[in-house]
Amino acid sequence: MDQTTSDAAIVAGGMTGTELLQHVDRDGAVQQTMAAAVSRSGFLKTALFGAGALFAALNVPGAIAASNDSPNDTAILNYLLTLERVQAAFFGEAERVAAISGRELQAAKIIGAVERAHVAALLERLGAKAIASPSFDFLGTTEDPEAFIKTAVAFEDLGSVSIAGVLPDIQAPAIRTIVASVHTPEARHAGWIRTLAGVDPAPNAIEGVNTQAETLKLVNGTGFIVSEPLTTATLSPSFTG
Amino acid sequence: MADTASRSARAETGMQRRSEFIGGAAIGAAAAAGVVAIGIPAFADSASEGDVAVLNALLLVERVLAAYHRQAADTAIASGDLQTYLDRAATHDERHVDELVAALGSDAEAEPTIGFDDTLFASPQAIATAAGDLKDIAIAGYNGHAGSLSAAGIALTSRLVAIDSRHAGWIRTLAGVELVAPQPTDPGIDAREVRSRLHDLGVRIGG
Repeated sequence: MDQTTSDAAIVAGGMTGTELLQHVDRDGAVQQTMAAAVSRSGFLKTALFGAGALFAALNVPGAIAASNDSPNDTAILNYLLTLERVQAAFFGEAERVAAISGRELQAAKIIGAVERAHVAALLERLGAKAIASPSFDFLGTTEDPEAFIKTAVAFEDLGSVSIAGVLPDIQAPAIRTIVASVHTPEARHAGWIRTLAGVDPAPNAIEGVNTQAETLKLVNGTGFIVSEPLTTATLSPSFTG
Repeated sequence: MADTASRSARAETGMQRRSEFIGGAAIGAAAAAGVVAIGIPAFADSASEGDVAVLNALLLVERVLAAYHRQAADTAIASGDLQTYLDRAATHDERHVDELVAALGSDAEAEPTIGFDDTLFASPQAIATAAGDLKDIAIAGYNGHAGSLSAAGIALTSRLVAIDSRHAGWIRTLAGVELVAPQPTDPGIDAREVRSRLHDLGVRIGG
């Protein structure tokens, strides 16, 4: 992983973007589990659109363009990768546990598929520069309908305000275009899941923004990111890699 | 036994932390600090030359949204949740217009006459469908310019289009659409395509 002086452009809370991501994986036990998770879930078969289709739609030849990404933009994409991974894992686990039903389950299926497509697209774009995936333990929130919907609202709100927070920092117009096109589905999801939850879908006229430090602090504070798979859930599967 | 106790303790800590997460993520830390309540600072009269055309194109879209939602809200056709949506969308869209006008300053174009085909107000379902379609066009219009705006420009527009996107998810859910937001991306379109799609929907824009 590159750690250059260019990272200083995204310094937040006294840490560079790279350092912040390392902080999330604070135990230093980050595992290369995403590839296995991909294989397990077969998500490329179930996602409504795969990463290839996503980039084809954007006319961005991922592998070629990615080699020219600046360290600044690479760090931001890795930050977004972490965010998308935790969202994808949460909704994927909720779908598999199936403690929810009806419109909530349908939303989990669709949102999960979209988040997995985002993860796949970011992985394709980042290539060898992609950081490793941590493991996740959602501490039972996927097993209880009320806990699920509250957490789902928080995740989709977080996705929107976090992406809005980094868009101005992205240097390459092509990357900014990609991220903007991923941002609005996150905000659509926020409006959708909030409506299902009976929570005001759009309380403000202007979206809030989170810095990377603010978002990573929130995610890290949940306890959802773990150094190794645990088995706290009573329903199967008990963890998401 | 020890493992069970450890997991229970961790879950309890996680529950406490999730409360902060659920509350803190909802509107963004900046919003919680009051930034949103006072608008977007330090952008008015600073639009770069390259941003002016883009922001004026987006201003037109927001004016269309505001006009439609306000007119629909005043028709007395809607009620309940749909009426709540229309009132809120109109208020937010009008705020977006204000923000864009402030950003453009003296470069803001005059508001054209904006009208709509009667079919767009024919029934609650027609209103909900048109409202969702208008939001889709607006989102595509915003995203079509994401790569060409300055950093200050995207800092403004990303915070407006996110709300339009929330509205899209909201109205589609109210309308009972099965697949509310199934696409992983919202591809952008240029200003000419925006006008074309608005026209095809039944929006009439005069000089």
